[in-house]
Amino acid sequence: MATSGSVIGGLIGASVKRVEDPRFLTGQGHYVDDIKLPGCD
Amino acid sequence: MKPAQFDYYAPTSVGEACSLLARYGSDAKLLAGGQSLVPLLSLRLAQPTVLIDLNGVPELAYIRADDGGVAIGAMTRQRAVEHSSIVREQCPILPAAVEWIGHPQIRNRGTMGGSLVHSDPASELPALAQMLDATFTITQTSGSKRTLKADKFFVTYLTTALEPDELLSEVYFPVLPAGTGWSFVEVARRHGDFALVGVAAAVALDDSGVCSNVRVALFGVAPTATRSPGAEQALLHQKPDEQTIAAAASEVVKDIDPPGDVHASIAYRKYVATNLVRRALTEAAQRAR
Amino acid sequence: MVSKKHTIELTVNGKPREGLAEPRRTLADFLRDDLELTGTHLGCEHGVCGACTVLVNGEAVRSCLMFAVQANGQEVTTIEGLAAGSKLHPVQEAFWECHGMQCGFCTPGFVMSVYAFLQENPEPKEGEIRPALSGNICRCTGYQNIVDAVLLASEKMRGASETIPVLSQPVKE
Repeated sequence: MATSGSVIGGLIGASVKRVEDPRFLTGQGHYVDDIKLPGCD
Repeated sequence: MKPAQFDYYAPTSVGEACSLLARYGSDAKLLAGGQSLVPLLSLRLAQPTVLIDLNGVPELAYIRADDGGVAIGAMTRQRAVEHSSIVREQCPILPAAVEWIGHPQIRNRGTMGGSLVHSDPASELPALAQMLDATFTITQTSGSKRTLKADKFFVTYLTTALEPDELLSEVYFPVLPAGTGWSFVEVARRHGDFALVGVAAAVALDDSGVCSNVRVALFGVAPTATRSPGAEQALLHQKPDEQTIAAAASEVVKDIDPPGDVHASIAYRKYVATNLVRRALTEAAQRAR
Repeated sequence: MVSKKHTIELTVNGKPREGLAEPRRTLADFLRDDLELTGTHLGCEHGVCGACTVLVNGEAVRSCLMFAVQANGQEVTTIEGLAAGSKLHPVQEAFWECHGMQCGFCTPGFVMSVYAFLQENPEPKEGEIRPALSGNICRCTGYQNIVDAVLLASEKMRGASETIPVLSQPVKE
């Protein structure tokens, strides 16, 4: 396992913002009901 | 699910609303805040063919206080009452009760009149109207008005004395006499849920510390909100203490007819009703001066 | 019986929009399907879950309990209208930093409710936040991170120079 001093050691236990959240927070998520199918209202 | 089809009208005056009611009568439902009606439409438990929207009738939304009480227009939003300093000063039990109605989003649209006319047995406002002996002003299609007291207004489960072509225009809540203590308590599974049991109570004391006026109204325990004459009579002319209040509270079960359902059993509601009445009378007596 | 469609003209996120809809079409469905603003979600469609919360004239309402025709002439703000271009609103930033979401389905409803709440109560105590958000249900988070997000958002909006530490992280040795 990598020990402190490497890049990975700095991330262990850190609170990392998720990459998908901005989509969810701005209403740009793509949930099943958001998918427009031809012929469906 | 989606509502069944209906025709929609948006009158801008009471007169226009009355004409529409005269024309469509029992085919129509009046739309106030929609917080009770629209779920019924969406679940297709109600399928009126005409909806008359009162949200564009500003003359039905007002709060006017006088020495005797507070007159509230039927389309007044629950939030307005919750935040009204006039109401808080004249009739503090009213905002205290309104805070228990659902959630902020509901109170932003929900109206005082709408909730009273819907008359859900587990809702707060009918019990308050019963306890305060409120006066209901009803406008008929001709434009003339009639009034009813609370005890005549509420008939049974989800039913009031309003005819299909009438509209409730105002509710007048009398103030409690000076020095009267009040209490409002409710038990629900989560904050904002429909009450399992709730109590609105008031106690006034005379100079010797004896109860000169006792009012107890309950909701969630009968087809409509109801007073408890048994509890009221038991405490009247008594000095309020632990024993007399407990004795009065134990009389409540004779005046209620609670339902058993998925949320609570009959026995549970009776048990909680007794405890809540005891709690409410204790608090009201402490607040009485 | 075919009920007649009504023209609806309203302002959504600051822009004039219009559409044609039957009176029974809810505001939620109108926003999602007619205006293609799918950020507002449908959870229960009968007014208990809060996922459909939008602002109408600045007030948080359940859009599944309003008909689109009732929004004629009104101002509606949806989740899509909160960020200023690519810059997130402090409420959105706070939810991101505090991990106030997992699946994100309830999030637009929460964010709009929180936004409206903080307009009225810019410095809430924790005991005031939970009742204010009682109209929104989350199945994923257990709510603690959402409460933290509201506290952080109120700090950000009051222009605090330091962000407060996230409250719910377990203490690390």
